[in-house]
Parts: sequence; C-alpha cells; structure tokens
Amino acid sequence: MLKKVGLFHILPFVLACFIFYVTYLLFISKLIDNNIQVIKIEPKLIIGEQTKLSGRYGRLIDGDSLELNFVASIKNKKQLTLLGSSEFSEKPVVSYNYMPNEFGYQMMGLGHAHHQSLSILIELLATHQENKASKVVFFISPGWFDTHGTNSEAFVEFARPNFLNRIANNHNIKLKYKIHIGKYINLRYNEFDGLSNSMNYFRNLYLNTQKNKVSLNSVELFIKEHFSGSKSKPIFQKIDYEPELSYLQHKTYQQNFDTVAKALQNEFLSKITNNKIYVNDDYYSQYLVDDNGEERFVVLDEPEITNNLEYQDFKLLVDYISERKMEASFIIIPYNPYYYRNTEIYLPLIDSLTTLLDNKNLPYKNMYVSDTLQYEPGILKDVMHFGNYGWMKVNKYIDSLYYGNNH
Amino acid sequence: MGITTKKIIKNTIIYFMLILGFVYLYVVDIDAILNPGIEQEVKSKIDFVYQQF
Repeated sequence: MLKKVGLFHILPFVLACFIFYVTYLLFISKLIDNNIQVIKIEPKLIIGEQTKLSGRYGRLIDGDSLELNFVASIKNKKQLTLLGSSEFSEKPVVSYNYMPNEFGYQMMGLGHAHHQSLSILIELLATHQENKASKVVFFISPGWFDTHGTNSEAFVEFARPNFLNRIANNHNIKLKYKIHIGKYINLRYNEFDGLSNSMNYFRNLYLNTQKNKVSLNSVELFIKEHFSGSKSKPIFQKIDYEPELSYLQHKTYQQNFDTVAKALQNEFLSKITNNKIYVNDDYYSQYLVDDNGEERFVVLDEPEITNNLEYQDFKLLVDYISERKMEASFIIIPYNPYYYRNTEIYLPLIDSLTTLLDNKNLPYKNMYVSDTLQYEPGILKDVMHFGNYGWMKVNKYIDSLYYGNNH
Repeated sequence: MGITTKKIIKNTIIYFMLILGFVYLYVVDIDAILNPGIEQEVKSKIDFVYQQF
C-alpha cells in the first residue's frame, strides 16, 4: 500500500514540483519580466475646477470629480475640511453649511456612518503631496471605539483605488502607515471580493514583517516572492490631481452665536412632548420605546483601550496629522447620558484620546460628559448626534480657533 | 511502456497542472502580473447595516 502511494503519488508529485520549477526558470519568469518591462503605464491626471466650497460628500465612491474636490479642499489653505461620521447631515446649521452661508468661510465635509479613523488616515495619506499645514476638523464619536475598527464596506467606500494607488506610489510616506493598512487588509482578507494590486502590495508589506512567524501566510508569501517574476517590483499607475482652486467672498456676520444657539435650544426643547431624556419625538418613538411601551436604555461596557483596533488607528492618525503639521482640531462628541446610563465608564478612553492630543499640542473641544448634571439638553438631538444647539457650539469653536473671531 | 510508467506520467502531469493552477490562479494573481498598474475596484462581501446606534 505504502509502496503504491510512494510510486503513484509521492514520486509524481516530486517530479511535478521539479518540472514546475524548471519550467518557471526557463519560461515563466522570462515571460513575466518581459511583460513588465514592455508595459508602460500612462499616468492618470484628474483636472478640474474646485466646485465644492460648502456642503458635504457622504462618500467618494461616485467618481473622480469628488476625489478632485476633496484633494482641492485639502490643498486650498483657505478652506476647512471637516471629517466625521453619522453626525453629519444636510441641516443648515451644520458647520459646512452654516459657516459658508453666514460668513463666506469655505469648508466641506466628508463622511457618513462608519467613516472612522482608518478611512480618514487613508484619505489624508492619499493627499500627502497637498496636506502640509492643511486645515482639518475631525469629529470623534465615542461609538467608534465600541466597534472592531473600520468595517470592510466602509473601507472600500473611502479607501478609493486611486487613493490606495497614490499611497503605494508615494515613497515619502513612512512605511509604518503602509504596513498598518496592510495589517488591516490581512485581518479582513476574507471579507473582500479579491484584492486590488495596491491592496496586495500593502498586505505583502505587512506579511513581510511577520516572516518569522510560521503560518499559512508565510507559505503564501514565499510563493508570491519566488514566483511573481524574478525582477518584478510592484508597478502602480501614477495618479495626479490638478484642481483649479476657488475662493469664497467673506461676509459680515450680523448675529451672535450664543443668542442664536439659545434660540435653537429653546425651539428644540419646546418641541419635545413624549419624553424626558431630551430626544426629539420622532426618534424617541421610532427607536427608544420597546414593544411594551417601555423606554429603552443602555448600560455601556467598559471599552478596551490598548487592544482596541479603533484606538490604534486613531493613534496613528494623530501621529500623521502631527507629522504633517496640519492645522487640525478635534471635536469629541458626547453620548446622551439620559439614555446611556453609565457614560462615566468611557472616561478613561476619552482621557487617553485627549492625552494623545495634548502630547502633540493639537487643540480639541471635548464635549463628552460623564453624567446628566454636566449635560446641556439640546447638544444632541437624539442619543449621539448633534442637534442644532450642539452645532452652534461647534460653529463658535471653529470661528474662534480658525478665524480668531469672538461673535 | 508499462502500465506503471504510464500511470506515473499521468499523475505527474496532473500534479504539475495542479501546482501551476494553485500558484498562478490562487496564490499569485497572474492577471495582476500581466496587467500591472491597473487598479481594480474591490467590493466587500459583507453588507453592513447602517444603524442609528
């Protein structure tokens, strides 16, 4: 029996390996190398006028012009770029609508739910050529740290192929950022429907750092290294954006932030009729009442800090922002403490975030509260998203920090 | 040529094809090697439900 297996399987397998190797050396490697030398990849140039001077894009999946406007926003030092997630909406009081309309201060927002630290880091890395000293405001939601980092669907929405290509091509970007992207791709490998060239490149960079650990990954890496063409190095199409920058005319603000904010707070509170937890009526009846008519509430779990994937992404994001000397600021959004009954459990995490920012001398407005006594009704319209009153507080902060005003 | 030799040759060819397919279709993306620089649009296999909380 053993003799048969040896003769009909082990021997043919060894012979096949040998023939494969010889075939590779004689033909396949030459074919691959010749192909790579022959192919010249035309650079891709995306040109156009900067048109997005207010409002926001939910995502960048809808075409090159959106990417161009995002790059323009980062490049244009007169413009503020706001990066956040589900608190963004089209309401007139949201900063990227209010400030351009009332002051003529140009700004654009980017993001929707699940637009978190890693996606934001990738967007900034993709604008490495343009982002030195850029003005960027980051909206940090405590809910990000309750997830397992960026999900793969959000990743493909925001980490656009052009962006990944641009990062892979840019040798001025530190390897640690590229390896971090590769680590994420490797972790979520099975959630993607295949990998693009650059995603493979990032993943291989990460796998190279894991060479000493024997695993299926190391076998895969060995095969990739030895059978991808002896002289081949990854080649990426050069992507360039050439936006023609536009500018808004400044206006004189006729009002006072505090007066407008107070009026908006009163308006919000006067409309609440069905709850005492300062949530708008529709949201309350749709999400916060169970089938028995009882009010729901949440007791939060204590968030991990050191091993929290989102925290690791955030830490790297802060490093990068600091390296690029961006004029960055951070808004830390609160949870509604009437709904989340133990918001104090997030304080160590929030302290870690603010310590990271303090260490890099990055300004922030920490609106997180640990109990109901600290909470100003109307800051949020529901349990975690800014209401008009909250947005006016943010607008005042931005006005003071970036424009030196005191309206 | 004996039956034994024929079977060994047949199995060698089968194993050769399997190795070739495994390496160039599964592990090393031959399409990416032959068309370098073209960045594919990747999709996520998981549809996340965008929830309020």
